[in-house]
Amino acid sequence: MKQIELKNVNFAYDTKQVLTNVSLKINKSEFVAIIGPNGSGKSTLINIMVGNLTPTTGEVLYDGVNLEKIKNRSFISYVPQKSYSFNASFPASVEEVVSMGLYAKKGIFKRLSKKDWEEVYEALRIVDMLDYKHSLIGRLSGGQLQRVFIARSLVAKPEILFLDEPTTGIDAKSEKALYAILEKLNKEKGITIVMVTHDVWAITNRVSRIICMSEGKINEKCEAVDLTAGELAEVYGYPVKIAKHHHNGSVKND
Amino acid sequence: MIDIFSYEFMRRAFIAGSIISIIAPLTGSFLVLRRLSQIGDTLSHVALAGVAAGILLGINPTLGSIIVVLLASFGIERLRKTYFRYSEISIAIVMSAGMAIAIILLSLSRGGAANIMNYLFGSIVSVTNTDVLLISTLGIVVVASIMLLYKELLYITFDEEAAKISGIPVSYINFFFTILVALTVALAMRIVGALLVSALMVIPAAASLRIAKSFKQTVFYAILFSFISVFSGIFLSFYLNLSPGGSIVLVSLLIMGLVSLKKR
Repeated sequence: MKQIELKNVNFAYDTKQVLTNVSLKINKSEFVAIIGPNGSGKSTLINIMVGNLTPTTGEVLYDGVNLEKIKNRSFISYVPQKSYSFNASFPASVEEVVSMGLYAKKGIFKRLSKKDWEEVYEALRIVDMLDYKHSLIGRLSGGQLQRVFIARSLVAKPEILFLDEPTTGIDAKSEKALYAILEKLNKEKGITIVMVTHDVWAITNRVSRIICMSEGKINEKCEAVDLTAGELAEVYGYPVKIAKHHHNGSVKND
Repeated sequence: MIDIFSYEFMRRAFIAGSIISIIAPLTGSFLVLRRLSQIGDTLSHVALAGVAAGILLGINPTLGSIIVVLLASFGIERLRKTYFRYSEISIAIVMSAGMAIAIILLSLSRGGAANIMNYLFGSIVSVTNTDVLLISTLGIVVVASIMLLYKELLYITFDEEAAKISGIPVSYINFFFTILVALTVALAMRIVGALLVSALMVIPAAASLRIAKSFKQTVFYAILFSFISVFSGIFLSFYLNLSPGGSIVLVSLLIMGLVSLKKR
């Protein structure tokens, strides 16, 4: 599966229109960030793309095939927003949580083989969490936990990785490490990454494209990485000041 | 000291007890982590209605309780869908329905009241060969099913939504798991008694949570603690002439206390 295409997608919760006529194309190996103020429809959009929600009208196509007709969706992986706020006292080890990413692919009644466990460790190595494989997940920090959840998504070898606000609730240093991992996955493994985020400032020099949402529509004007303050202000609906980051030179708000 | 194994009924009690000591914490570990601890209690009250029906109709009471508990577990699933925002309502309804039916059936059968005490508080003297056969066969079914569905049950217990999205048939597995819980309750009741069944499902798992470093360890320690509790409980009840259910549960509480002293 290479290309994602949304054709005139509309979505409404009861009577509230959330997405209006959204059309977009994402090509293989793109690294796309979806930004926009709260309530602009970012999370709904990502949930429609992964198939958790069905559009009221319009189509979601993967290589021209409607998602509803695709039974095996293991090429898609989704790290939801709430994964940082799950039950932290659950007695599972890091390797057990990551192995869950293989369960559906493996099929019911079957046990994981030695090779499957190798894949679990490989995924942990990619996110730099291999040393923690026997740790209880309750002992991890927010950033480490998020990396474990990304490893769980990676282990099934997806071609497209969707993330909904992956840096919510984690500190600046972990955030940087997380983006570096995503960048590596995108550049080295060619995995398409589609990410909903609020930190416009941290991602502008990493992603290949930014999609701006406002009031359930795509703002065509800002489909570029080098956004100006004026364009951002238009998206967010209030004045935005852009400043250079002190350490790495990336653009961030100040 | 009297040789405990020279008695036929004690051998039966140990066979039945060891199987129960495995299946109760096995299903119990998943229930505790899914915050469904009360289901064991509900089903054990319902199981009493099955026992009473068995006594009244002259069939094996354990068999009677298995049938009734299975029916009740379907009822709970059904009611849980109807009142899905208040799922504890279904538990309360089924529990009271079970007790009410049990009491009515008991008052109909003369002399049944004495017999039902064995099921309320558990008994080792009265375990029959049919009971041992039922407990062994169905116990193996429960263990084998959970081993086969282990990874799916783990994923559902950890994150039901993610399991569903990943393509695991969550509702079928949930339904089947409820059946396994129902079987466990009906079988375990024979030894530990209806009033204490859920204790054997919950306490070893609760103790295990204090020291386990993975889910696999949680299940392993829960079974270990439960096995120790059931064996020492049966010994105690034999030599000191105490209720087996009460002894088993007190030993398991003691283990939980000791484990809590240990720092993780």
